[in-house]
Amino acid sequence: MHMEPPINSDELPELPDELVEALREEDLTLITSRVDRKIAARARRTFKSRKAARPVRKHRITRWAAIAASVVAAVIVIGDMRSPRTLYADHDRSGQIDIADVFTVARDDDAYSQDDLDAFAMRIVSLNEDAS
Amino acid sequence: MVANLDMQSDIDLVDICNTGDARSAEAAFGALYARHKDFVVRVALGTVGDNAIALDTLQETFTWLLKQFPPAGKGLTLTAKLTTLLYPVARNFAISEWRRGKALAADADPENLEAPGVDTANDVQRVLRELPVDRREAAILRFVHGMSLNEIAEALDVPPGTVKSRLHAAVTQLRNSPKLKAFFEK
Repeated sequence: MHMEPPINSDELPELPDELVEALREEDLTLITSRVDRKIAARARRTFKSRKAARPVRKHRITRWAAIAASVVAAVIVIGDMRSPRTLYADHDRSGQIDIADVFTVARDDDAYSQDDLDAFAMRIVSLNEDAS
Repeated sequence: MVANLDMQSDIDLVDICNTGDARSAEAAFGALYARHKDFVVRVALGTVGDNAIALDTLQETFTWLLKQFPPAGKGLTLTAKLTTLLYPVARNFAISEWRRGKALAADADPENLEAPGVDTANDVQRVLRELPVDRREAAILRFVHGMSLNEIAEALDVPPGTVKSRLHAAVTQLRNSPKLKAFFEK
């Protein structure tokens, strides 16, 4: 370890441009292809146990389907189902008709009965099952 | 996700290596390797100046990096440039290999390691390699790799003031070298 004297200047020392260029002219004609192949093979072995990425949307659909299935189960227990056409719509303006629309109607619209909402949920579940 | 990896930062690529699927992680690691392999080779050559050791260092450094990522490791959190992280790893591998090859005494001080010249080095590089190792590595990181003061300090694990002192000493020594006189007179 060489003890260097303290430097007061805030400036970092510079070298002439031509000298810097000469320093950078390191001959890198080393044959690295053997190492390249080894590293590539090791990377493949290391990462191969990773599973393929699954789209987030799929999880979301699964979650909604589970919620919807719970609603349907309740509907079956309660009994008597109807399917009013006017109810089946994109109430929350999300761009798709899903279980969130059931909740939106249940929260904001008193015009529909519990049976109507149950039927709405049932129809959504049926469509989701058909789609999957 | 695999596309345009060359445009992504080291932090993004490391993140893909940490959490990406098999194909993405492998591609991201490949991009990191392609981006930094010359740096690692230069570090090894600048430290010990031996081609065979440089190749071993390249392999060992990236094998070490690979082991940081799941499932082998817990993942890597990158807070600075990857070169800042790779520098001490590559340097230590190079010194270890050099020691093994030269059967140095176990208590040999790596700070006093003198880099042997290599046939491919030009005169300027030979003068650089005559510098004491602490000045030499500061100069290489600054002038060859263009790293900032703080990046060098982090890579070498010394205070920025120490880096500055070493750089000034290195430049003074280079300036006083008869072989480099012409560069400073222009």
